[in-house]
Amino acid sequence: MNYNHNHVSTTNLFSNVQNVAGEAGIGGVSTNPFDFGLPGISFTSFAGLTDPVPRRELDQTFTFSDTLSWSRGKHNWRFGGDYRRILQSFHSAKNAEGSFVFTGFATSQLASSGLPAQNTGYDFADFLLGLPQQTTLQSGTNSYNFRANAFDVYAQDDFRFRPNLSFNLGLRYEYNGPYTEANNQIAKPECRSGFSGAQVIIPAGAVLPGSISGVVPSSTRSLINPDRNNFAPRIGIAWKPMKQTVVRAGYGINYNLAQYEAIIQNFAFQPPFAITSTNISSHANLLTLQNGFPAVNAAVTNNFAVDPNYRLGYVQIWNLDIQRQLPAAC
Amino acid sequence: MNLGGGGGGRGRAQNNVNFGMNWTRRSTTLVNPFPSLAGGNSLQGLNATAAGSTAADAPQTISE
Repeated sequence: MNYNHNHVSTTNLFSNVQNVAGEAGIGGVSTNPFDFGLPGISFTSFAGLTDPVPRRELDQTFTFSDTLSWSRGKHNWRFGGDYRRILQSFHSAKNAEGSFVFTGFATSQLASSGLPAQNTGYDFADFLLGLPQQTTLQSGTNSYNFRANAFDVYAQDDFRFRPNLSFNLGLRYEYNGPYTEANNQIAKPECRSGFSGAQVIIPAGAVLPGSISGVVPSSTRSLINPDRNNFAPRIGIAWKPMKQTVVRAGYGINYNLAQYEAIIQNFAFQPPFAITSTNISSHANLLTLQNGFPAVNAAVTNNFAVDPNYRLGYVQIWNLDIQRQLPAAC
Repeated sequence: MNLGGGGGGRGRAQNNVNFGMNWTRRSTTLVNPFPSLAGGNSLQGLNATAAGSTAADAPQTISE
């Protein structure tokens, strides 16, 4: 029985201390003290400026496991299994203070078409003028509580068939449940049948932030059907055909059990619970530092999707090893 | 911590109970080279384990 707990906290110089973006006159960004910090700034020809993203995270794992060993004749059996309850909670906003992109767009000459001519503007000049070419901002839910269950059982036999030949045979079954979110604040886009359109899938029972159309409840809270056929056989052979030679061979299958964690991290921060807006400046409607985030109405760029019948990846590993003891040097 | 149980001996069960706890705390000040800015990072971890084992010898056959 094991309990593991890790609490990680990352802060920048301004989180919960000073609303540096607000004091600089930058509007439309998060006013939550936890998110305080400098907006990201990037250039075309210079390195950008980034601030650590404040984050608080608590990871907990409860593990119950048992093993039974049994020896009889030429067999040494081992049976076992474990159950894990995994809890991951975090509070973080990936881009709550916004990001500005300076490309030289605002200081470039206009071509006859009315569009900026290439290689005529200067990104740092745009920055000094406070005229970004693009801004991005994330808003909405920024606290998540992921939950998952996992268990495995196995049986293994060390079988000494002859004094010079032994086998190691085993079979393991792994079940890793996909993560769910305690408040059902995850979502993914999905194509309608016949590619006739797109719809947003959310867990049944999710409470939407307002009246939103085109949202379809899923029958599974995780938005992915569990992969239940993860059998992992093992076989190993050790053979000593002659006095100074040993041959060993083995084969096994291993599953990528960490993939669900990557998937749930992407299901979070998705519309309709959180939105990443991207605003593009134009000469008719210039974005400024003060008014770089006019509204959350532009193109949504967070649109991560996964096949509902996603299967965990696996690797097959085999090896063959021949060991020969050489005669000692004279 | 080990609470050693029954003694050895042929045909007798051996019981052991183990408890373990590990606590760690780490705090780091981020002093990044430009263009990243400064910040802080802290970690507090706890790992607690309780385990027990029972071993039983196979019945012995004694012939005279």
